[in-house]
Amino acid sequence: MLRRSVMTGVLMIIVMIWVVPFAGLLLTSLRSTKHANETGFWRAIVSNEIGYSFKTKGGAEAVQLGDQWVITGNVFEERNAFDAGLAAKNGEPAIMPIRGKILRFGSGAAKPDAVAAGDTVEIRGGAFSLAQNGDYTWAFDQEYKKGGKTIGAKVLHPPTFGWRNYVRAFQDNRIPNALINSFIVTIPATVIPLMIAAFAAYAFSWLTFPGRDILLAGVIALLVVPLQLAFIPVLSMYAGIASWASELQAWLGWCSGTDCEVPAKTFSGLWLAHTAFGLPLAIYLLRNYIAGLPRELLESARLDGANHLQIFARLVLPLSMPALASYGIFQFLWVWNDLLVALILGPTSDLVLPIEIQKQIGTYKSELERLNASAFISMIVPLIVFLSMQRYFVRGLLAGSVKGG
Amino acid sequence: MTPISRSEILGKLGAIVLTMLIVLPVLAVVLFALTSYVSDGVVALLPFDPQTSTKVIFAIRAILIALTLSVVYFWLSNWLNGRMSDGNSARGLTVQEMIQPWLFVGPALMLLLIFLIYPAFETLRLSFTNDVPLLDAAGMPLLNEGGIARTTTGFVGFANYAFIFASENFWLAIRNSVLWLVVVPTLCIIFGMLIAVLADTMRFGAVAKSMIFIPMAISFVGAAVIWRNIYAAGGTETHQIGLLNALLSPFGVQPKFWYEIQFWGNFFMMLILVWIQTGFAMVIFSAALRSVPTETLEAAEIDGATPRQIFFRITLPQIYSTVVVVWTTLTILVLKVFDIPFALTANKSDKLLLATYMEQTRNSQREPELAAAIAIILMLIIVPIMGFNLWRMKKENADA
Repeated sequence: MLRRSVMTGVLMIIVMIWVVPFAGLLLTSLRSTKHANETGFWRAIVSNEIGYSFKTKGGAEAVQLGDQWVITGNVFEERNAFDAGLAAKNGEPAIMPIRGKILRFGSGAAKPDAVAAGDTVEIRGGAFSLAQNGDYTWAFDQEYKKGGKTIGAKVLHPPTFGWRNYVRAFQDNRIPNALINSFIVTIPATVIPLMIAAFAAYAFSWLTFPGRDILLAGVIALLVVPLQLAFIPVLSMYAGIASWASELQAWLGWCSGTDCEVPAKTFSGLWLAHTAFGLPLAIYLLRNYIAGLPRELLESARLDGANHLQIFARLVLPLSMPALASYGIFQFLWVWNDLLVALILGPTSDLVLPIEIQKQIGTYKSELERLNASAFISMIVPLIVFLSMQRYFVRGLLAGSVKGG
Repeated sequence: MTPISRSEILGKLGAIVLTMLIVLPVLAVVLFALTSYVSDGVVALLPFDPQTSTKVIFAIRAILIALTLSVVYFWLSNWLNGRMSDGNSARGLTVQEMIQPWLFVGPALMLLLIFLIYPAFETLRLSFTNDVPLLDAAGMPLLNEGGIARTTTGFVGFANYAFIFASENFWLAIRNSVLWLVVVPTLCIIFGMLIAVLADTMRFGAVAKSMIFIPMAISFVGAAVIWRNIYAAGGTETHQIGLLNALLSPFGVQPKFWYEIQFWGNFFMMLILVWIQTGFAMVIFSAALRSVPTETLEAAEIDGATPRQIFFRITLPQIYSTVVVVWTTLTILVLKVFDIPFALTANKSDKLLLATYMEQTRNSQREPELAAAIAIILMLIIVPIMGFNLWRMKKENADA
């Protein structure tokens, strides 16, 4: 019994190590800038002491009460109204309002811990007191004509979450653009190799031609070739095609000057490269499956006068759906998550998500909530694909690994 | 019946290929021109801003055209093959049968030739070339107006390799790659095995397994962002925002970016890959464990073997070959790791790996010939590992 609870405990700890980082990403992406950059993600679910500076109202809004001039207000309401106005002016989504309980405050932004909430400090000759709920009074013996004063306060802030970072990510056009680019790259780079490999796998399993076995062994041997081996020549090939196309355009007179320049790194170049790089595994996996289809079925179709294209389209394709799904999700995840190939062969102005996120790691060093929101957006699509087709993914892993390769 | 000659097959095949080479590009241009009329109207209907709409429409057009071309190729080549030889005669049918396979494997072989085979040899050739001085007929170096020797690209033998072997960064990359190769597969296998064994014995196991499997879906860059929240330094005087620093600062440990520290930072990046890949090892081991016959296990239990003995003496030897497969797969994956160090430390020489070292040489230093030599070295390291795997598989099949 003890043994069993130890085992459960070990597994629980391992699962924690796996889940906590994910939770960190999600929690950080839902917090406000100040919270995410001053307290750790694990503090997102409890109240935190956060230092804020507030600007009070000035002498123009003082009211004479007896022989005193008094300024009253609420730091939270005023600050939130100001921030909301600023966000509206800048076209940003609604702010996450500051709320909570004032713990301590002081007469300047650098002195948030001077006195406890409810106490009084002297500011510019007036008695300033700040209550826990943010209400303040600033009383003077004579008329006060100057402006407001910035005060510092420690606020016990309850947990706050909001969609603001996601709304901002979609307002800024880099993430939506990268999302579209990732779809542009991934869909053809998944479907085209699937189609080409399925035809090849059918021929390798059911048609006879000279050199078939050697060719198949050669194709599978290409699984070993690291992509690094291909980058330099493929890139110079693309550069060659691009300069040739530029000259052709100029010669045809379709354009003038710099308009004629055809980029070397394009989406179509990326599709072709991903297609080719994915083919060895695709052919290997699909051939294993298609070769196992019942021989009688295919032969009887042949006797009925069906040609190979008909057999392929009406019999082999529908029967191979599980294998196609397995490989399809492999390739989809691989292309969607790929950084290296896109970096080297992909368009330089239209970035895919991994490159965009990699850049944002640098630019959002002090806006972690935005970095985390962007990263989560980049994961949504593969997570949906993965979770909905996990069965096929596992099957593909097992076919690729337990049998060998 | 006239005998079927090789030239007849080649001729007909050539005719089909030639037709394709003409028809497909023309079709692409025509489709592109045709769809441009439609797309202008559709752009206005989309709910995005005009620039985004134009891009989305362009993408949909490009995707549809690419897919149409692929379908047209297979359909049209099949149709041409059927028309060129008389399908009603046995001879014609045989000719068709001989041409058909090549039409099906053609595109795949073509792409592999252009994007993998030719580049591999070209990279090999490139790795033996570099800038060499241009000589005149008398063998004296030619100078340009500034008095600098003019250069051309020429054969330099193993000079690139010698240069790389003499560079400090290369040995750092090798050191780090070896560390990654030892640590990542080992930890993945230990964790994967542990989880597979533990999870199979309890009800909570299925949930645990799917949790641990999820990181397989996300990108290395995304994982780097996730783990940055754990490893990062920063925050306020009282609060650290990185989990690790927050846990350790009560013990007087100075807050730091854990993946940036000299040498040991490598290990913190390795853990990210372990976090991603353990799910892979776990799934494979889970399946392998289920294939171990329960009778043997029960018999051992009756004979009084402890669970530990059962695992190490009976279960492990039976799934040993699976462990080796997982190990090779992970090894090859680790050799190609690029994204994690690239995203987190942007190629600091202390954190170089073979893949990042190559990209640094190619892109930042503009030395494609040296980069080609590094790629060849990478290849030379991978091939024996893969060869070992294939040899073992073959031996196993022969034994079975």
